[in-house]
Amino acid sequence: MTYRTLARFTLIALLALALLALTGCGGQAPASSWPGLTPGEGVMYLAATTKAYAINAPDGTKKWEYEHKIASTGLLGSGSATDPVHAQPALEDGVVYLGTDGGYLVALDAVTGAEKWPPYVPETPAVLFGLIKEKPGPVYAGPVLAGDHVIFAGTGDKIYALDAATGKPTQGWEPYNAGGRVWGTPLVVNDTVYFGTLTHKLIALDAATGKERWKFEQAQGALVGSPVFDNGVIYAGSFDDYLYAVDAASGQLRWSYHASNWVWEGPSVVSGTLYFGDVSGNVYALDAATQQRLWVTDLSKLSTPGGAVRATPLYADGVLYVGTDNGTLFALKADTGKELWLQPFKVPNARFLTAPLMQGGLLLIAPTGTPTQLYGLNPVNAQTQWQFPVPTGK
Amino acid sequence: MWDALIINPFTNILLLIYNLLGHNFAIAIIVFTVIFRAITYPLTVQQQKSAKAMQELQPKLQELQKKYAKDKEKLQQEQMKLYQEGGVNPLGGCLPLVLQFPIFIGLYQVILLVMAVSPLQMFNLAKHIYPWLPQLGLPQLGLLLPLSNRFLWLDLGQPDLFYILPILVVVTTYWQQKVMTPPSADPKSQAMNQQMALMMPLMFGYFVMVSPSGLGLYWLISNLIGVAQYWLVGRAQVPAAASATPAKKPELPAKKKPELPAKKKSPAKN
Repeated sequence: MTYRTLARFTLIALLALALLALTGCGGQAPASSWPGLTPGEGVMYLAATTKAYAINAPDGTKKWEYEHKIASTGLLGSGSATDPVHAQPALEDGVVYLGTDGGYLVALDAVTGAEKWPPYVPETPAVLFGLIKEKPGPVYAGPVLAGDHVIFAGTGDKIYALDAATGKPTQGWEPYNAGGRVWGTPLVVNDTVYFGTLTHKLIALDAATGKERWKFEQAQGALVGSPVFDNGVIYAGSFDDYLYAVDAASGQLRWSYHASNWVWEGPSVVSGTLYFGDVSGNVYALDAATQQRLWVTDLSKLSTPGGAVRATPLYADGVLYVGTDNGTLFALKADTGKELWLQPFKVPNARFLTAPLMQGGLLLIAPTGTPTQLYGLNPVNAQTQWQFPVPTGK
Repeated sequence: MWDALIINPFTNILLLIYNLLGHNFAIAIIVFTVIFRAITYPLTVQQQKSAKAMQELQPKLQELQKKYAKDKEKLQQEQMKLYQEGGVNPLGGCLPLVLQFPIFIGLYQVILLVMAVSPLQMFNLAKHIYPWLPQLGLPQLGLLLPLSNRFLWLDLGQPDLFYILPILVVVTTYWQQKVMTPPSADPKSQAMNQQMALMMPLMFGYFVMVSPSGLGLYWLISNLIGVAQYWLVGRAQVPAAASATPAKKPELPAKKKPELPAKKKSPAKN
């Protein structure tokens, strides 16, 4: 065999291995989103890619776990595959609702983790003379409850409503075509559902019927996060670097603020002050009434630099907790934006893309990209109280 | 370093092309592929010239193969000597492939990255976009997202439901392999070449089947450009399958019949 042939064969084999790795064929498919985390009564509900968990907040022990499986077919035959879960769970009346990457909506008993009704997936159209069915679209946005029904964004860029007790489509609700993907958990305020779309729109629907109330179309970029409501105003961040304030009743623009980069999520609103971040790593405090910027902290310039801010900062007792893309969690004084902790909480190879939560006096943060799926921290000094799952060897 | 040198520039160039060409992602992929194949054209020419030179040495290599069939070491020595005399580097055709390797991988990653079909992919894309482009009068690329993914029957962010693209990739990969791989004097190498000619198309067909069809489109266009480039360099025929052209038997001078001495006439008798 000549050198040339051997060299060509080796190069092609290396290329094949590289491409295998890139297409995720060599092992578990990479996560499509970050974990979803929702607080309950002394329990945290975590949607962490392969499984959903109920975790006891005081000590980080597992109450139950749930894995959704769906049928899969491939070259080597058919079987079942794990259907990943990422969307922020919804909790209402003892039931936890989850959306899955496979397009399903699942309802679980909050105490036991048992399915309340068969997981629901919307019908998809068939193509090629009915021989091939389109795959359902993933549910990345968390479901929300409005009265007796659960509303979620699913297949075909539509907003669906199911009877919360039975899992059947709500009578009188025609799935609403949002005209673009919906990735941020919708917001329900009184009898209206608000959500943003990747096609630059902020939409309000009647929560009982799914009929459109208004549509805000002045944003130049995608509205991917969850909107926030305060005092008659809906706040939403956009890929055009703006935070928008829109009248909740009419959909008219009240004002907008220009940040340095994409504003992914809506802000925390506390006593008329808005706190939010952008993907350049800046954290802003704005006066909601005057739009005056009270302070801005560039986390990337701190002594332990932070990364991009994706999630809404958590406000608690005068402190703002902000997770960033490079695995650093900061505590900032809410009145000045200065660091509170001596050292930020940092986890190597982690990404803090899920909003932190406070539960039972503990600060909870769910990382992306590490075996540990949830940390319970002392909010005063960032000391780890527990990790879930417990690391092997401990 | 990889991001700074390959991923970030490729990402922004692809998005700028998308913006220029009426927000059609398929056309952007095609133009992007054409541009980069054009930039790597000198390397491709060098690779094909090396292959051609190797092909011209085939008859002599076959002679050596016959002559030193039982002495592998001597055969390799004589082959190396022949390469040196002919000014051919046996690995010369592989060096361009090595240099193009990171570019192929980079393009593959960038097309996956830019299609951003999930929230995490979209978030990852944010850090590769140059925020200072508007200061140069260029568009704010974040406003283009998400990209318009539909092209003919394809959703460029999803695998081809009808498997048309994987079939096209299998056929064009095989075609490109056949036109660009010269026959080999060494039977083992030839057998391996034949195996690769079958395995590679099937392998890439499988990748395309399970990958977003935007990647499949890139492979298809890249294959077609590869064949077109090969024609431009000068070879217009697909060589015969499998074996090399049998060497002509050396012409031996025609055998002359040996000249017999003339018969002496016997003296006459009284």
